[in-house]
Amino acid sequence: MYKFLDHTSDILMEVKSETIEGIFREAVKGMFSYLLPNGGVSGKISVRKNIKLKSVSFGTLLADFLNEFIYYFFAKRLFPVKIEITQMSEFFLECSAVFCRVGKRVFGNALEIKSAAYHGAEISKNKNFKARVIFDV
Amino acid sequence: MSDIKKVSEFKFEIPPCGAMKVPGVIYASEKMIRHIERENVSKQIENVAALPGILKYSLAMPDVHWGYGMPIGGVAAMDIEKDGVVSPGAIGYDINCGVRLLRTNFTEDKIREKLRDLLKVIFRNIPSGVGSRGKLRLTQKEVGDVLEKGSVWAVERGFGTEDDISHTEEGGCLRSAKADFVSNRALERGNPQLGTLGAGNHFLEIQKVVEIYDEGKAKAWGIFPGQITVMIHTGSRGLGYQVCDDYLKVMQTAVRKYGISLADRQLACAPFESEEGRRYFAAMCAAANYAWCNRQIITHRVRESFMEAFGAPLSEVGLELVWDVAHNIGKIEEFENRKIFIHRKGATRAFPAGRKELPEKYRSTGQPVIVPGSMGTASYLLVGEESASQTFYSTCHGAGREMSRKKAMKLESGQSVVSRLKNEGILVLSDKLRTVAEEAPAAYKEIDEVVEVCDRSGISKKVAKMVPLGVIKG
Repeated sequence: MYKFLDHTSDILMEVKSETIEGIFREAVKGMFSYLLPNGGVSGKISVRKNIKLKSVSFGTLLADFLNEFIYYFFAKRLFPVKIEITQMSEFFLECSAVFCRVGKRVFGNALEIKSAAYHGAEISKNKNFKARVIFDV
Repeated sequence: MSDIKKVSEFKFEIPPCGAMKVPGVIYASEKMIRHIERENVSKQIENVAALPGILKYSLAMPDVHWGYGMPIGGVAAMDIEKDGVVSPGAIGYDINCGVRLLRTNFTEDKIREKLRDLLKVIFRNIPSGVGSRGKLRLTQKEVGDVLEKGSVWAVERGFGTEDDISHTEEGGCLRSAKADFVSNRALERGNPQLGTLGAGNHFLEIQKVVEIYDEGKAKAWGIFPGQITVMIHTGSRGLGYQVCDDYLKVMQTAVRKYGISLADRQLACAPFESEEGRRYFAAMCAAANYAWCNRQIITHRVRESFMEAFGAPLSEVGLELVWDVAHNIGKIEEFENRKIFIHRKGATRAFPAGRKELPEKYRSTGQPVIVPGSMGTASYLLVGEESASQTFYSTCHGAGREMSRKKAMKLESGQSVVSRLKNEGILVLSDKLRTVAEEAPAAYKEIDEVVEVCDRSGISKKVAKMVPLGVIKG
């Protein structure tokens, strides 16, 4: 589950999930709901990418993870349809993602996100996991 | 909440506490400081004040607002001889996001009837929005040349004049740029976008000069009442975002290596003279050069569009470049007879008269400072003053956001903003009404008040005021 909160200059997203892997997957889903508010993705060509990341905390790992998808979207017009996280620790993540290529029209309707910031990127656990991420838009 | 003390009418201070190495200084009115306190921007000013090697103060310009790492409107100068650091987060993702102002020979009566047609031609010739791709297709070698030569590359290929180069901050080229330090990912994102406006708060405006405050300087700069001007606001596009992203990762590791303690990971940094610092600086300069080249190519397309819309030669249209400012950048500058490294994030350099870095035309007047307002509100032309030494010769960069995008969208729909502005005589062209709603004038601080604080605190002085007639939003 994700929702967007008030932030004066940028976009603040809060994500909740029962698992840490769920936080990462849900954050990608939330981010693309902002990027493509009108949806419309129906590409058929699928591309598989393996993503390996090292970072210094869960929070920065989440920002790095989202930035991988920002890169694939803006540089290659790839939209993730399936994300399988195969290994994960506080400092390391490995995943396999399947993408479809977004058509020119849908891509042209996208909003811009420059990056997921490290500032405020944090994951906490009470009963469930909760994360916050700020996007520079 | 920080203890903010008023030191003069438009200057407030946060005395050093905790890890702060220097005080924080905020330029604001009483009304503005209350908003700044509510937003807790002072926390971010304090975090910057704790960076290694910071000189004198952690500064906040009158348009300061909550950002990430350093606030938008923040300025921090570093002592590079004493392990002063360079931080990608204190420059921002859109490296060398900036503004340039072109002056025409036209007045409103000449363009009013053809304004819609003119906007349509510009909209067609200058791609805008997320998916936009420029008309240029460059080889890898050519992209490398853009990164190391900036505006000079564009002018060498016929996209402008020698005057365009001399009327751009740093001559449109930071010589320390090294294309080799820019990642393939950044090149991939940047290559197709050269000559595009982009999205979000980037825009192109047709404006009219409505007020002159300093006749001498306005005349020297070729500005007169009623004159039509063109303002271009964009930056380094995806290339700059990726450079910032790439080096923020590098700096996370560097922070541990150099034993730097940070209150905010977004301020990750390395000593300027370290390998990591040098590499980032070279890549940042390359992204800055890309942004100058981008604005230069857009300038060329604006000139082509005016000639097409009016069927007139450039000699009749004018469109000389008044000046081009960078407002997200890190540079080595001379201050009190020594070299310092200065971060400006949402802040503009404002050199006074007499600075050798300025071209002859501006050496006797001081540097023009271009301050864009929000869509539908005024923009200003200011001038650098010697009294700006208190801010390392820096001033504001715009109005500064006051309201979240979410709130702005609830307040008024994009279509309503377009209709309302049309009734006020301002045409808006955008293929994304959501962006128009997010960027509505009500979402920003009052530009008049921001500029007034700059003027009265002496960090720059008013020269002219322009209002929009036509706006293109990405």
